[in-house]
Amino acid sequence: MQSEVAVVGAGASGLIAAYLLAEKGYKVKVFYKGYGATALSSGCFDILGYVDDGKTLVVNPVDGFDKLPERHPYRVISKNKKDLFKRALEDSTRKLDWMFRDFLYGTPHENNLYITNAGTLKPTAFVQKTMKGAKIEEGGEYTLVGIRGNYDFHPPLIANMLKIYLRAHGYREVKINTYTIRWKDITNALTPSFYIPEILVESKLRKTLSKIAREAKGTILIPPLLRRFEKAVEILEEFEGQVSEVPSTHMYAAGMRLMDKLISIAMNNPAIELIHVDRLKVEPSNMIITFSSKGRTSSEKFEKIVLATGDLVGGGMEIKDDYIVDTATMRKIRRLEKDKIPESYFDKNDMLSKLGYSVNEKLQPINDEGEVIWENIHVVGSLLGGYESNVEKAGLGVPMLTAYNLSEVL
Amino acid sequence: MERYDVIVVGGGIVGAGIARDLQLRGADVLLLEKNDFATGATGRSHALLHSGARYVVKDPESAKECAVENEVLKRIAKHIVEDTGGLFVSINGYDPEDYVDKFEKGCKDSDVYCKEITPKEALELEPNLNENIAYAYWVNDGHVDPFRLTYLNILDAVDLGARAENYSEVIDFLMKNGEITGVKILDKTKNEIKHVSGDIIVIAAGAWNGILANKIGANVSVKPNRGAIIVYSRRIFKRVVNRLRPPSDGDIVVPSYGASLFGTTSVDVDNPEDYTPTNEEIQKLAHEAKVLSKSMAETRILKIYTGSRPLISAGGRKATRTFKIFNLEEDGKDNVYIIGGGKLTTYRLMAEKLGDIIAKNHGLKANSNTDKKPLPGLYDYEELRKMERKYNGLKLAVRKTYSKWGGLAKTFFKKEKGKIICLCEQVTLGEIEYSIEKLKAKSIGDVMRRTRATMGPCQGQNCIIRIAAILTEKNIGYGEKALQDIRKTLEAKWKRFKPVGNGVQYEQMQLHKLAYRLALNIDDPKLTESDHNAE
Repeated sequence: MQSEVAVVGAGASGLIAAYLLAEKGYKVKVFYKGYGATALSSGCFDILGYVDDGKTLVVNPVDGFDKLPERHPYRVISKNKKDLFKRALEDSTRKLDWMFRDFLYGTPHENNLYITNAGTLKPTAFVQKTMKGAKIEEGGEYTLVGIRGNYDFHPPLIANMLKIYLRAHGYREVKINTYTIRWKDITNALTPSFYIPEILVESKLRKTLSKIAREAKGTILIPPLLRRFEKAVEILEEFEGQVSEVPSTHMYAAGMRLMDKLISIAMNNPAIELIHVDRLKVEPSNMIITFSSKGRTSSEKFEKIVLATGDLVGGGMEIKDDYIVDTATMRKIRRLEKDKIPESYFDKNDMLSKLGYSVNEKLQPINDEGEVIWENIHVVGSLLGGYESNVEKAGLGVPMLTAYNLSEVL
Repeated sequence: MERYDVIVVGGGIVGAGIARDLQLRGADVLLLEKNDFATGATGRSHALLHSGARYVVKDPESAKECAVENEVLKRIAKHIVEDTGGLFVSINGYDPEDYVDKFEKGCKDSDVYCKEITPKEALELEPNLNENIAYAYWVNDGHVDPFRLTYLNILDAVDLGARAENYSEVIDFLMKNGEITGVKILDKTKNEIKHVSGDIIVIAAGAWNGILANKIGANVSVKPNRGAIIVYSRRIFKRVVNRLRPPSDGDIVVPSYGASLFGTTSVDVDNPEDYTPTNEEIQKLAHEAKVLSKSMAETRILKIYTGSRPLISAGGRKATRTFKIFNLEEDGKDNVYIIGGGKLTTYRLMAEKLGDIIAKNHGLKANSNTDKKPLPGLYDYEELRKMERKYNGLKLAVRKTYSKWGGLAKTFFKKEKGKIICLCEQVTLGEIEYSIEKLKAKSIGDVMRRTRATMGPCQGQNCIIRIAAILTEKNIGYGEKALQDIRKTLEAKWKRFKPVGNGVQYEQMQLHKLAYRLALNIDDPKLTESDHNAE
């Protein structure tokens, strides 16, 4: 049986690539194993936050292009031309309007700073619509709503941290208030936990939010408790931006919502088939994918294979005997030089940027001499090298733009 | 000016033991520690409750002491000693056969229990061992938690009326007419200088004894010696496992909670805070790991940590061969005592011996009875079962908490404080608040040492922010330092991971960085040095 394109990996890069290829008329089979970095992400679309090894804050992602190193995926896909990059950014957000218009808030031309659940300020281009009130504006007023006994969103800590970050960024007239509620104001559960979304009681949540909206001033910022609770998202919309959640980490909320959105778009597209696998191997020499799913092992041949399996976090790379290995093809991508592991947690020279695949402008993997390794295999997303998401804050920008570029060149 | 009968300088296990011993004899004690308690050799030790068998050939005096104190600690500190038992194994082709007889004879001569077992029996007990075993012996080694051992000594002393302060550095001594009358303290949390007078001064600062001795012109020479220990992220052996050979590097594996501690090395250093392990040390340990257990060589390494052994090189009179007590009566400073050397296992004996001398010289009670009086928080199986039933949804947390604190857990384990803050180690809100309110935890690192939070597989990825939030709530003045403390904690985790960075742990640390650097932007370059160091 011959299908047209196989996409390995169902994170942001894999599912966006699948969608765009399907729009172009391809039949796409998406193989996936489990959750990776996208599900764990803050759910924000960072395009490009910092350049110059993380030293310079970028206000307009396009302006940052000039300072990117030659090997950066943004440079590779736009043939080193800034206006091509600009066009790609605009065209891709337009083609993905179900995400960038309906689900997210922001523009590709401007980074803004958002308050996070730890009280830091994070620059990003797009946040989920439920987070838009967390954007920091000079002269703005914000009320942080804490839940007694909840330490994942703790107004006293947030207020202390924000003081430092606001001052560093030159904001002098931002007002921060705090407000505390109890778990029983929004749930009936005896031992509340963020990991069980169903405990939120719709009527209680609505009543409590109304009360806070009446009593508190400015934008009300609430903990990221919405998880996949769609009703809660609707409730927030009833408050029309007066109540907002904040970008956060380890809540597995906004990241999962993003995954839900991407997966539902794929599932509702007749040209895309999603296949869950327990094991999968790609044989580049004969373009065969061998996989085991639901207890059965099968093999299929494809005209094109797209590797969108992610990095160490996503599971697309693993370390085996001092080499970074592509887990789908088992190819040794690069040697992990132990003595080059940085001394500091905060070191801007993180090794990971050097460890992923190098590609040409068609996203075909190339070796150190610049020769194409496999003609009909393409690499998108964080499996690519040449960029460092931690430092540049380009976490979802690279997956999106490389997936977009793939759909243009195939 | 405040006045105490005894000022003890140094808050490791020896200082803590001395504070408790002297308080029991009726003295009014002040214990001062420049960092957090147990952050010197104590907290960087192998956590091994020695049976004594390791020393029977080379140092029989030490072996005898360990054998006796091993039994004492199992009695008075039952809840923080895990009586795992231990094995000594001789590996064919690697370990000299002639050591075996010496070992057995040495055990007999030093009254150290050992029982020969067959290699087959040894492999049945520990299937992960290298199967090529020539000889094997069973001994009474165990695991003791050095942090809680220290805190419980301090807690008991404080309950009896003593005072203990961490982050209080003795920067000089007060003198009057050539006599030492007290200490000058830098309170690091308030950044204030304080003078306190004391009749008797005990210096129990381990590897820092030399620096303090210098300040009073005493001739005590300390030669710090660094040892490195690799932490594997699971229990490879159920018991302590030793190589049956003359003591060398990489001889011992100690099971500690959900991990295995493998070490150690021996490198002379000039500075007791020279904590960076060299490549040679790591290679040596990697090699010995492979010999001891194939399984160990393939297990995820969580981190590597090091500590400086406080070896006394020369000077002063000896108390026993294993540790030394200096009394400076020749210099007219007969109210000053310096104690050094020794082992974690024999801390109580050291404290008692010094206590006996001080009691005799200064008229305190003749006995402290620390060999009989148990440390706070007894272990009671029935009580544990009752707690498990009571907190039905938190059974695992109950078990883990009880195994750390024994009966003391009842005082802080409550339903309304039952929220699990650190999922990996099942640490509840109640325990963390207890560590702040009653055990003087002032930073994330302090909370970690007392509760084990952030020590599990995710290395604090999820709970570092939460602990910072709890500290902000419970500790006046922490809020301004929160950013500094979070950064310090992240950096410390990296420093211990970096030398052994590989495999699954490398992946875990990448995820760790995605959370703090990408999602939270905690390394915002707009922040300056002074922002990082708060106000």
